[in-house]
Amino acid sequence: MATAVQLKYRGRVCPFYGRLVWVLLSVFWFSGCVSVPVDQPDDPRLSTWERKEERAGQPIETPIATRSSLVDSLQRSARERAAVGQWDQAEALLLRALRIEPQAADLYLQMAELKLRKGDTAGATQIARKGLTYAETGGDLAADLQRFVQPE
Amino acid sequence: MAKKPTRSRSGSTRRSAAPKSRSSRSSKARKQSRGALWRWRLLQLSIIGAAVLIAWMFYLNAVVRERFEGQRFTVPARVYSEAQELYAGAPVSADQVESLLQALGYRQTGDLGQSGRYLRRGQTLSIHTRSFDFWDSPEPARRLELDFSQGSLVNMVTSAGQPVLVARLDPLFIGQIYPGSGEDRLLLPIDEVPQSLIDGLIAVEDRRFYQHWGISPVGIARALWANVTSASIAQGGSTLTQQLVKNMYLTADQTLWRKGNEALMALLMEWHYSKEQILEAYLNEIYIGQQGRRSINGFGLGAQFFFGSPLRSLNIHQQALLVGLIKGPSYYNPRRNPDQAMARRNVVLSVWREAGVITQAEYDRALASGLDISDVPGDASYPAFMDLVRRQLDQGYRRQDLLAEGLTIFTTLDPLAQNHLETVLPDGLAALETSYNLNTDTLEGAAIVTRPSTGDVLAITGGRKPELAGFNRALDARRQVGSLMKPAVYLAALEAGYTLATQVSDAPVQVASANGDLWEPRNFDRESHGSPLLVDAFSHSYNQATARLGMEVGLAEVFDVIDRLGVSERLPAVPSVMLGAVDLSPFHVAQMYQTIAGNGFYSPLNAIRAVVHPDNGVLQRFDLQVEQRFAPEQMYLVQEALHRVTLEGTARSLQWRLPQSWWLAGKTGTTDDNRDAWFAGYSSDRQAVVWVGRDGNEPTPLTGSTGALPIWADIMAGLKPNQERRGQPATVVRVPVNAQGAQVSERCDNQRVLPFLAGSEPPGRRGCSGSPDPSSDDEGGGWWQRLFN
Repeated sequence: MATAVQLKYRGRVCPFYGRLVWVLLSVFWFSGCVSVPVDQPDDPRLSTWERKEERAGQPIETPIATRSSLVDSLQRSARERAAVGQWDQAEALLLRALRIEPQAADLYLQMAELKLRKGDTAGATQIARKGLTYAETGGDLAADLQRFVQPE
Repeated sequence: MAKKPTRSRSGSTRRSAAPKSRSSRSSKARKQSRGALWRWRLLQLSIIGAAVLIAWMFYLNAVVRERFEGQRFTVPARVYSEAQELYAGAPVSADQVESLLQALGYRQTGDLGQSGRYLRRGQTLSIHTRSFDFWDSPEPARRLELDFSQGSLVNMVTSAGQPVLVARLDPLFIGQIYPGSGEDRLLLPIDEVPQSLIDGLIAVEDRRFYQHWGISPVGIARALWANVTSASIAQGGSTLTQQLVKNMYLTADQTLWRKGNEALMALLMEWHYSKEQILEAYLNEIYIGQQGRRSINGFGLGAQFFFGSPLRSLNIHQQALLVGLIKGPSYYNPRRNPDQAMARRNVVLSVWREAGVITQAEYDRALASGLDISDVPGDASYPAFMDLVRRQLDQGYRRQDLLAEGLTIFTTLDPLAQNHLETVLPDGLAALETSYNLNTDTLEGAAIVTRPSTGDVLAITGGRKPELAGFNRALDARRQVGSLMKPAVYLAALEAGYTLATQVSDAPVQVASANGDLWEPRNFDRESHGSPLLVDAFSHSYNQATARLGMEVGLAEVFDVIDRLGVSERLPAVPSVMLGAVDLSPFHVAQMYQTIAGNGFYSPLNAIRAVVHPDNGVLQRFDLQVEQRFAPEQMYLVQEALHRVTLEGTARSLQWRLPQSWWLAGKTGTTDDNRDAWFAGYSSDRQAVVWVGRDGNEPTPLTGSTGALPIWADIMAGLKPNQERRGQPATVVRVPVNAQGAQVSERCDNQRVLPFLAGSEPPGRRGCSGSPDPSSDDEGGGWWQRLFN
């Protein structure tokens, strides 16, 4: 009996079963999955976080040295939900994280990005402004938040 | 008609016979014609009348069916608290989690095979959690091992030892509400209602209930006779069905139109529904009490409200009282008019005995019983919070959405914080009464706890008896706020260019208002304090200095700041508002200070996280709203001033009441003759507002520092806010200043480091005394000190 396996590749899932599926996988590998454009660091559709990941060439695990792994986990889940357009769930996860770490500026950044994706520009600006009150002055985070306050 | 022929006859006595005969025939014909015309008109009128009546009946029929079926099968909205998040580092103790598990109905047992069970061993909890469908995602049931140490959860693993990042306990069910209306009820199917109550109800209110078709001519005749013989309206002839119709659809007006409609609708109701259905609706619908804005409908809720017990456990005498209340819920209110209530109950009991509902022995026993009502109205949990939920649903949600059945409402209530508040406030008030030799139960209070980062209302209590659903002081008590308004004056001053080190005059001040009245505020200690620094005038809450400052800055500017802080009430345009001569509720104050704790960003306080429809999913959910109202740098300075209040000002006792390592900010408030004692403040992501006073607005011996602050401190001690503090804005610098506000060396005695907006700090460095010579020996205590520095 074939075992259900999930192969994750850049956020997309290609299910396959047994040998037959290996064949299909090869097809997908050389056509379907890889034919989707790979995100570029300067792609304006990407969030700040995703751009950083693209630039670094690998996932960035922790934005702040002291932050709890729980908040990281919630943020990661929020990014996954946002990637598939589940804005409400993504925002709910971020708010859960915010209730645990209310002064985490990067949560505000992620929320501002979410609001912007939803088309709420004014809301994104306000959230970013508040995030700036917690961000370290002159740091990368402050610069990222500043983008929402004074759009280029 | 009768007079015309007479006149005709008298007028025609001298006429001939022939004309008389013609005239008679003609008159007869006219009469016949007129009669036919009237008959025709009558027929027309009857047809029109019947058509109108039929149309009206159709209309009434629709009304009866729609409301009756809607009401009968209405499923109330279920309201849940915030879920307790469990994760390594969560600031909860094993005791707190265990108390929560008990409130959730978890059973302590060694066998954790089923969800809803737990086992406590010292500082370890093994829990088999329940699954729950939250509005955002489902939470699975699972076995968890929790280790606690020093008041927090330090480790969480599965029963197999795998670490678990986060888990949510199922939320606490805190009650059910009918969001679309101000009514409250506890729906009971008819088979859960004691038979004696049903029989007794019919015996008292409508003996022919099972015989009539909605209206009872016999009953009407009997009532009519009783009323005629007593020359007053002593009896009503309404059947149970008519009473139900009146309760559900009509007003209590004593008009023929209303009575006619009532009769028609009663007939229609009987036509559509069985006697049992009508009786069940009656038992759940009938109005038997009132508490404030809340109407008590139905015997199920009535039993809880008056006796604190479920309906099926009531004794005969208690059932009789409930039935007796129907005649006049206000007049026979057993809490307000116990004698009338007792007399009415006994009448009901005698009717029951005569009708054979109860035996003579039961009658004797019941008659010998007291009213047996509970001291306080029994209620669902957390009535003050539920009150807020109802109001916010009314304000922020569409009515058609709220009328949907079976809604689930997720709220922000933190059961641990709420239970803590409900313990601390009554205990604190009792302790104050003891300390100040006051009569017991003479002080009242209200408190509200919020989360500044999101504006969530975590806990709220509307009085010292939190289980009471009556007057919700946290939302509705409008009291003068005293010095709680001062941050607005100082914020306006900072926006106008003042600094925390600006000297302000505390000399007596007089302000003439537009109508010629003279306002002459005095300091609490009746003394003037020279020219204190702005930060000291604030932390010591000097009224004269604040009034002067406010007048210098401008009343319009101060009012603008008050408005931006989130006070939406219309305030009188008088200068005394600057010192808090304005009536606000604790909720208003919490909203105002929320903007301060939120670094100058306004977020509306909210109690509802999401409303979920059983079929359509999330109808509406909480969306974090922030709106910048102030420059964060200036708010940082105000926060610093509020912090100084807790270090060296009117709230300095917090230094020994709470751990000194905690960063606290807050303000005391006291009004004339100590009628109101307030404290509002925050620490990290927890804010609390406490009001203490008397309902009748009588003076107390308490100030904000002695009355409200101790309770606030106890609240915060239990909340254990994590001690995070926002970083200092880049545009803020810290500079040491002396008592005159001049910049001095940090080595000077009595210097204090205060924050300033960069560029606004006092110019140059002076000697410790403020002299322009920095090389003077009084700097830093002399050459030897400099040597060691």
